[in-house]
Amino acid sequence: MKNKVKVARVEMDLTQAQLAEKVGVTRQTISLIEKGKYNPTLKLCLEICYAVNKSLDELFWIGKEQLHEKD
Amino acid sequence: MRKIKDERLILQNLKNIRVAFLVQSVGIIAILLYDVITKGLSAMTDNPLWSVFMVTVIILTWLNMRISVDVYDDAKKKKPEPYYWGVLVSMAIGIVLALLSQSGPDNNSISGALIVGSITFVCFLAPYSYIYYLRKKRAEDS
Repeated sequence: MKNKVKVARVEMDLTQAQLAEKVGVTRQTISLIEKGKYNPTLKLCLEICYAVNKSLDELFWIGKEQLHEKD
Repeated sequence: MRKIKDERLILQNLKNIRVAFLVQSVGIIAILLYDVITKGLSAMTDNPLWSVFMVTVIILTWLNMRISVDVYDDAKKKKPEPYYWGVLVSMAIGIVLALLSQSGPDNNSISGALIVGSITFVCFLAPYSYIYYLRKKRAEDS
């Protein structure tokens, strides 16, 4: 599923590894989330939001038509 | 070995365990089938693998009851049926089987029939009680 994690991370000047360490997952997981190939749990979504100072809405909200789009 | 904290890897680990469980179960079934074909049914049930297989099946069935309760959850039904219904049905099945075992071809003694009846009663009542408890808990939660 598409999201804006990568943009938010770059804005915060964080590398994937740094963000991964902040939220307690591996770098590969962050990479997969950014590519939209892994859907994180709500808990992890919130952890990412806290780490990059954004709301869930800003990072993960997408329109209904995009929801069923293939990545 | 480090403890896995990454939710994606935990999920992957569970999927791996599922595959391993599948392979193990296929292996056990193959060994038991080989026993049946070469040595007969009693040799198979004597094999300790049979007990392992049965215990696994029973545990899986018990654990899956939590899933069944959710899948067959009827939103229209506010309250689950009263508990005594399950007790009565289990008792009825126990009595019928006890009578059948006494008067059937096995011709069991009264104590034998009582044992058959009470085991059947417990076998029906125990899962019913657990499902009743789960349903009641779900109803309280929602």
